[in-house]
Amino acid sequence: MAEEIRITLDLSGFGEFQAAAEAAVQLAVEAAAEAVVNDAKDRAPVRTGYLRDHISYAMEDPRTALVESEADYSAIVDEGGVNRPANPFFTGAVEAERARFEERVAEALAEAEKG
Amino acid sequence: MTEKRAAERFIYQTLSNDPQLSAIVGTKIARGVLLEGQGTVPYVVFQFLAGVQRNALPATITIMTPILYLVRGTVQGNSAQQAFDIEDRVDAVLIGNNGTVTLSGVTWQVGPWVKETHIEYDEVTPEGTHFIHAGAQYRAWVYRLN
Repeated sequence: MAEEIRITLDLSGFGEFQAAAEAAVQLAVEAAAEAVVNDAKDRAPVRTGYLRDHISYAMEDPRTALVESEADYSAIVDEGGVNRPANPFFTGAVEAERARFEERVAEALAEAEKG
Repeated sequence: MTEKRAAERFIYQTLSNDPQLSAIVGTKIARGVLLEGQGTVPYVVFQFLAGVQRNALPATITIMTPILYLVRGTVQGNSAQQAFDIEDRVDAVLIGNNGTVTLSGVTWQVGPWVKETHIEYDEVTPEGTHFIHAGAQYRAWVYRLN
């Protein structure tokens, strides 16, 4: 004897949720990028202020942000140089946000679900 | 933060015990920066970049997770090949490696290590000397065993 199980998935409204979720994730990604920029500026050593004042982000697509430290000596400061230990102003900011990011996205999706 | 000391002991011992790396840099393996009198290029430095200490109960359980270290080689001149050779050796001995370190009677589990971001950049000093840095960021878990 064969038994049949029938499952019906009601997807009405899914399109609206998907759109809301994608918008929420984009906001979360942008907020994360902004947080990295601000934190990196706070951590950046200041002599002339050029390093601190040239950290920025740009959205590459709705799920991707590029955070950049434009000073050409950024890596030498962040990772260290000859006779100079690393001062991870950028890596530290990224790591701090890494710890928060998952929660940030989860909160955004929860808000989207509420509608 | 004893977790850092344990991680640094592990890195230093692991790198120092590799004869192929020693053939390139000798004993010039240092934390942070090569101090005056410790020689010159080529060399390897390692440094703590990030890590969050988390405490738990009982108090003997402390976890620093995840800990992130920079390990880079520095060479002088226009060819980066020797710096890449250093990075290759660090990869060979560190990636996937793990072990225990005992400090003041406390034993720490360190690793396994994974490689994350490759780094590579030039530095020209005000005197015009050209250095090349190459290496990577490596991540590991460090936690207390007793």
